[in-house]
Amino acid sequence: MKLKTQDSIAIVLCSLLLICTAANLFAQDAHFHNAPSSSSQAKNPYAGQHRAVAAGAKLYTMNCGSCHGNNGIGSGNVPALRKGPAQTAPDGEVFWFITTGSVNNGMPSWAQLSEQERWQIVTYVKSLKNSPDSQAVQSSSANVKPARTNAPPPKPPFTDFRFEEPGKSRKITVQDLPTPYATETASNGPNVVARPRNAWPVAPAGFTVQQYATGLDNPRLIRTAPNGDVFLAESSSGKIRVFRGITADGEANQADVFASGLEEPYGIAFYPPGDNPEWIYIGDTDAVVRFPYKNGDLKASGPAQHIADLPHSTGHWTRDVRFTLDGKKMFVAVGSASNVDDPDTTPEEKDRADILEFNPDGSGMRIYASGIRNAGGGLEIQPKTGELWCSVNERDGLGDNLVPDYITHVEEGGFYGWPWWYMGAHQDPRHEGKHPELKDKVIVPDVLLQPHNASLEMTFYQGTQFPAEYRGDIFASQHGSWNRSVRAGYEVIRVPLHQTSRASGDYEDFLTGFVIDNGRVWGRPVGITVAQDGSLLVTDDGSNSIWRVSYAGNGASNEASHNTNRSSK
Amino acid sequence: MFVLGLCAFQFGDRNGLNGMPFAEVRPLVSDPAKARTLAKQGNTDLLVGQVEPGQTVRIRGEITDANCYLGSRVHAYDHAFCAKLCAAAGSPLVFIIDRDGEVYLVLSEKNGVRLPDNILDLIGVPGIMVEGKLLEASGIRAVAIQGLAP
Repeated sequence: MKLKTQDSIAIVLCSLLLICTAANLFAQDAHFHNAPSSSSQAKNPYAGQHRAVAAGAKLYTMNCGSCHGNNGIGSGNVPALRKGPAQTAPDGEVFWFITTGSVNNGMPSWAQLSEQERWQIVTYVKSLKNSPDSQAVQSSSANVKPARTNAPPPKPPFTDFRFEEPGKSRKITVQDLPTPYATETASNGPNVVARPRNAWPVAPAGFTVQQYATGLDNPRLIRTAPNGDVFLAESSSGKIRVFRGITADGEANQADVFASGLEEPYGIAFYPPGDNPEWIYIGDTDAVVRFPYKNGDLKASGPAQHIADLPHSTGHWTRDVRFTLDGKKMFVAVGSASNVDDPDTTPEEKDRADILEFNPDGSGMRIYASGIRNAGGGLEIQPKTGELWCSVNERDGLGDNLVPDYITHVEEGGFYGWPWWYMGAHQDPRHEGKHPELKDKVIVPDVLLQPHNASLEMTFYQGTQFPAEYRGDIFASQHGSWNRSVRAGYEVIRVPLHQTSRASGDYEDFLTGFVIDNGRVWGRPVGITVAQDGSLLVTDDGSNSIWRVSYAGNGASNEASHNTNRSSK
Repeated sequence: MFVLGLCAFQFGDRNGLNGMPFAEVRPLVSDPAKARTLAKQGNTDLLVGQVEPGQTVRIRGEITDANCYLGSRVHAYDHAFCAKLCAAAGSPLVFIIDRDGEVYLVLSEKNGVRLPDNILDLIGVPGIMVEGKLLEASGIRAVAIQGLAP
């Protein structure tokens, strides 16, 4: 079974979302989703039974919760199952609909579950009816007390979520790296829950944080067009959304779907560079495509044009796209197919873990830089020097504090180590003895980040709203770790360039607060861009939101912004 | 005739257990006592609980499913959900050793006993250290996993 099959399963499961929408459509009908009248006569053999409710809750979580939300609260713009037609319909009709499904409504048949299991799900869903809102959502959106993490504090310069703090400066050097396997590998993926009522991103003093948009579907890379419109890749649903303007409450004035029907869009680039682009290029996992575009377009004026095929089979799928300042070359980052499989013996790794260079028409592909495990999450052009920079996810399985993710400028023809080496002359123990000739050619990146942070999109701050010392600095989203015993990342960082075009290796926490405890998170930063007014926009595929960080001067506080924003909803 | 009948009685599959549908056998994994009783009553062999021979070693690497790894070379964490699904569907598990990339069939330490959940939960996680016994027969290498190395 390939990843695409997983995706298909996910799509089918997510199609469950439509049950609620469909439920509204059929609310006036005599029977739930046009269920046959005979179905209403079917008696639920487990009605009201506590054990069936418990069993149904487990089944619901496994099969339904990812789309319908925890405890039937709904998800995004999907209404709740704990009220509405799903509650007023007879048990037998709900059972019938779960069994039969509806292709038109995107609801698959769940007939593969046993009859007992389907009834248990019905019993569970019905049990939610009398739950007051606060009870029903207690596990997800009430004020949540973090569970205690007993792990000892990390040894600096390494850190974890407990010690992330806006403004806190950090620097990791190669001398700090432990030996491989100094700690055991960890499987500590996040359990993403709804944002608790008391949770909000935290920025340094003087900055305010507002919710620019929410109810999105897997918002990933975000990029600002020359005219100030903001383009967003919704990768799972294959859409490119566009937002325009900012209200007094920090929300988008206008939103639209620019294009849809894409495979897994991620990278977005406007071409030619300058104030009047004619095309929007999209890195669509196995290809680069482009749409005709002129300033002000909220809809693509033509179909997608195929520009170039990209290597793709499995593994890292994000493909950021950038153009050189003169518009003569296009860069596309293609991450590895695997964690550390040897390209010498793994055909699937051909032309992967590289940054590829093309002509803008898709011709002339060549490897610009190699040994870069996955820069697909973030490429950027330094606006003054024209240098290519990237944000990289490094490898797993060597312990908590190896190998650091990184942000670096990219040297043409440069080799950055993967998979045989890392961070200079450090050989990966899984490839011991291989490629000794490369040992002294491995470039040490500019800025070493916390290992396993999952560093994604980066941007150079060219606005004028933030204090002058931020001008030209890098901001980057850190999606957050799984291969670390105590999680790290789940934040936005700032890489100060100190008014130069070079990084000195230090960086600092900038936007934090997305983690509840070592088991649960509510937010995961992915994309980042500078809006036309100089505020930062940060996408978050945990809460399916875009956050806006603006500078309001010394008198403002993050908490004030939080309250203002909440009261405006 | 009496002797032949006695042999059939002693060594034959008295109750047709060998023809039992797989779906009926599967739940017995959770009830080895019942399986033993059935086997005894049916006069069939049952090696459930027998410990694989050999010396215990520690190896580091990754567990993944054989279907995807051997067929497509796909594995590791981005593939963990898929690997678990394939394993749940009956695909054998394999262990890819970090040191040399060699691949071993994964066995449980005891016949008829599932691998513990804390091992199955780590399918797709690179760099895990397990204790187990290395076996080889007919050119097939296997590791009978006892558990995570302490």
